Amino acid sequence: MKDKKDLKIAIVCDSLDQYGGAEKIVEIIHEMYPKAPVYTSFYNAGRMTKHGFKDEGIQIITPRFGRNKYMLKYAKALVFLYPAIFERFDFSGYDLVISSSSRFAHGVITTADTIHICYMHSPSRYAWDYFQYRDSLHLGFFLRRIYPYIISYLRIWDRVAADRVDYFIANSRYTQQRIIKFYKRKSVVIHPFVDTLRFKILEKSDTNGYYIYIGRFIPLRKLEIVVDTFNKLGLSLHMVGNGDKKYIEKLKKRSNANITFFEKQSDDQVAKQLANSRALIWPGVEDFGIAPVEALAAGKPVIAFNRGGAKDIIEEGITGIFFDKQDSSSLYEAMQRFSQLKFDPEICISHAQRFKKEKFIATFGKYIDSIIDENSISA
Amino acid sequence: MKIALVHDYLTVYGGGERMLELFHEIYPHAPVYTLLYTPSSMPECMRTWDIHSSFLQKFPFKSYARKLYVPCMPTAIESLHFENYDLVLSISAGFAKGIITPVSTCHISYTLTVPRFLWGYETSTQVRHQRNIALPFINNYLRIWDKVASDRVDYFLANSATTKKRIAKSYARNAKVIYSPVDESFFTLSTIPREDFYLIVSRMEPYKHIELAIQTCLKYKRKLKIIGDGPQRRYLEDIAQGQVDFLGLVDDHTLLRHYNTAKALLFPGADDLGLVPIEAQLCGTPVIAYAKDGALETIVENQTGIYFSDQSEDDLYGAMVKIEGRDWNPEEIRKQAMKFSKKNIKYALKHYIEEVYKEYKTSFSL
Repeated sequence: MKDKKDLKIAIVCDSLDQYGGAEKIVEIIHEMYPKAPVYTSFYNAGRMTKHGFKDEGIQIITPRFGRNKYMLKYAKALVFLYPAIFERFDFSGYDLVISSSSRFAHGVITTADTIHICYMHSPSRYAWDYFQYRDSLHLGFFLRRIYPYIISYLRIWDRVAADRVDYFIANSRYTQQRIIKFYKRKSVVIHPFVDTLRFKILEKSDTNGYYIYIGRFIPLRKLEIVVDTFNKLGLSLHMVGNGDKKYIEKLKKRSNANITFFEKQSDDQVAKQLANSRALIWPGVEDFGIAPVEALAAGKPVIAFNRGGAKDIIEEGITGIFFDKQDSSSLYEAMQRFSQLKFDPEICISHAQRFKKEKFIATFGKYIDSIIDENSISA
Repeated sequence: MKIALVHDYLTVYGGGERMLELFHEIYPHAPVYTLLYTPSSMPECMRTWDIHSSFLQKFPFKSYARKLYVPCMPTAIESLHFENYDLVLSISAGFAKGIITPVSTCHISYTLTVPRFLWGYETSTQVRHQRNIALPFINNYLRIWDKVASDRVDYFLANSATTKKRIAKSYARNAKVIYSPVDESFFTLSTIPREDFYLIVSRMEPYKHIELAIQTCLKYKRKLKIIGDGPQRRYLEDIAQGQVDFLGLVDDHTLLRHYNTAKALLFPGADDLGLVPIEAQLCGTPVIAYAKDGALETIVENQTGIYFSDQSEDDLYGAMVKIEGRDWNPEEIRKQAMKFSKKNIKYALKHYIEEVYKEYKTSFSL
């Protein structure tokens, strides 16, 4: 094989629609391989750049309709199109394709002359967390009836497409387990990075005694158990984030006066809220989980459900505690335990350092290099 | 032992069909199952064979069948019965490997190539660039089917190391390489003196990159003769500006004479294996080949030919200069190519099939 710097590399991702965690990973991978074009299904340039995405110098390749305003509006509804979109990308001539996938990007076609490494954020939730995902969509009468057939097809495709990947990278041990469970494939774990700089610069004021939840308001996060627990405890709780309007209304109705909702907060406001809190409550099952890392960076412990990516982030008794059942009595019991423990903010902060950008770049780069070496030996 | 042979289609005579003939020579009593059979376009000798075709045979517009009925082909191949056979050998470039066999039947697939149009390889028609809006969806279905169907094969044979690599990539299966053979008793050395021309023997399709050879020969004033026909012929004749001999399809003896008199054979495209370079070498003719895929297995650099590494006129010319700069020993070239001889390959095939069949029987305690 050629010299490492002469390798032709391409990056693929599901879509560039909202500037979130997965998109930031794509941005960093591109920073590491600046000559690589980024192939994706849809690119919403307006929304992405408004939230801080810088597309200068990135060659973004989409299908002809991939930037069309009208198509962008319905991009989510066009799920059955995505497999064909990704299968049509032509990677002949590339030595290495790096895909970043939680839905479709792992299904690209590469020949025996191209290595395909997939950074997997999660095996497709629409396929493998079917009921939870379906319920969060609030489908109408008609769609609700054809939806299972579409997903059934996509699930078959998803499984078959996973075999097109030569090497899997999982973003957490939980994702690694899901890759084994659904795809019967091995992977290495490389945690994503979390931008924690803005949490460090804030002075740590004394805690006012409120607990906090930061994140999306979606049924998947099981926020009703948090509401129920705090109704019973009577402790102050701040719920910070955006999400599903219907769900937020439902939660508000359920809440007593000690629970306050903060919607549409700026990054700085969120950081300030976190800096003044006692601890983060994390009741959902996430593939990784950015908010727990942010809490640690702000020197705050986390009370988390003992499943998912949180297990890679938090250490029981040192940077937080776990509860074992996803219900309010288990959380209630954990809150009691928590009140008797003390957590060192400095230790929390130092644990957050494991998820620094520099760490990700070094680990990811080293792994990619090792794959390149491994293949040039056998070539 | 009851044996059946399966092949994708018997509508065009080419390398795959010659391979089928070889299998039929080994197992002359085996019936042949196929999607479609048009006797008029097949050699006479096949009319004595016991050939069964699928329900596609009854469909109208047969001349377009290979394009029109592609979405039905998985179903058509699955509708063939093999319950009464002990061993089924499929010779497949696509659909034939997808047959259904019971536990009592061992299925060995001799794979000529993974379907190029599904797995990202250059194809004759460049399917990716066609504007047919249904095509991505049909191919999406075929890709899923092709992957799943590959699991129905008990043992994979590959016609080259390139195909083996592709089977590993697309199907995650191991394959044993047994090359496609060339008839060494027909392609032989001769005493006719060599003449001053380069030769191409090829179907005229884009991925064969014949235009590269034509342009190089025009630029550097070399004589070129081309044997073969295909969809690109008119285009190639245009760019040749009357300075290249297009001989079209020729009979076997004319072909042999050209192999025997050419200065060297040009092989500017990349193929899974490529039988033409082997034929040329059995005739003692050196080969200039693009250094990729099958050619890397069939030619020994500096002994039986010269590689060029870029598909550019200058690189190809560089290889021509090397060919012209020294003498080549026809006996030596033929000797190297004998590992592709029919006799050797037939023996290897028979031996492998017997071994594997025994293993299969033991593993299922049959």
